[in-house]
Amino acid sequence: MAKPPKIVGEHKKEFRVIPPPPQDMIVHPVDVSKGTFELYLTKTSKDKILEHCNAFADQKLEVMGFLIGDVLRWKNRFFSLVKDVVSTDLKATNISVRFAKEGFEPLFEELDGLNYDYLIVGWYHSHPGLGCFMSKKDIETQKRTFNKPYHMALVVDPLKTEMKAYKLKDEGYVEKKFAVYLETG
Amino acid sequence: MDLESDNTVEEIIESAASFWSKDPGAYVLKWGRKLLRGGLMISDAGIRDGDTLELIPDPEGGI
Ligand SMILES: [Zn+2]
Repeated sequence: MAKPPKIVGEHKKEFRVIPPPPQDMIVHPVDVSKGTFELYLTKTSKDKILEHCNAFADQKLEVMGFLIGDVLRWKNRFFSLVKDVVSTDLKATNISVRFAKEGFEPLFEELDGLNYDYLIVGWYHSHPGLGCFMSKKDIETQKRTFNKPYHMALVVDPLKTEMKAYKLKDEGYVEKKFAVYLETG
Repeated sequence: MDLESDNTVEEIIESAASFWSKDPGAYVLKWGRKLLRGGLMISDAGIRDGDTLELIPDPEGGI
């Protein structure tokens, strides 16, 4: 019988020190005077999420994907920057969603196609017609797979045109304000 | 991670999950573009020294 696998070293990713997107690049919220945010999404990522959620909204099917980007540090604060979103074939109903088994390899191909050292900074999923909140199952998923302080959950109701961001807090969750910005280049 | 040729994918996920305090049932193992399945042995998968394996979350949304 084989010896169990042994971890022989650990390399921790350093969070780079970079300022958040400047106020004149932020397109949501309109009033940015309320300080900094813990989550910034590029407008392209936000549009891609909405497009995905809207595509299945009529059938009231939930959709899901990963929020991809980086975690950065500025003035002793951490923030997540979502530069891309990825998804694949799903197993979904109007009240549940997960990746289909056959969806993983196309998903990996999409991840490998990203030409930077990415982090999965959270996930998005939709609640068509049910409003934005974290269900018991969503909280359980957040605790099992997205339990780092920077991990976010983005919930979208395409029928009520709502999008909200959440993080774990104590045994439950808390809503976080987020910003959408126009990337340059 | 030190592995033996007859270690299984399941054992790799369990060891990594335990080291980083993760729930082994909530992740899948990515080897390049391949999804590695639970009972598969390192030798049968063709994994070589220096290859990168990644734990990828397998989230579930629902009411
Ligand atoms: Zn949900």
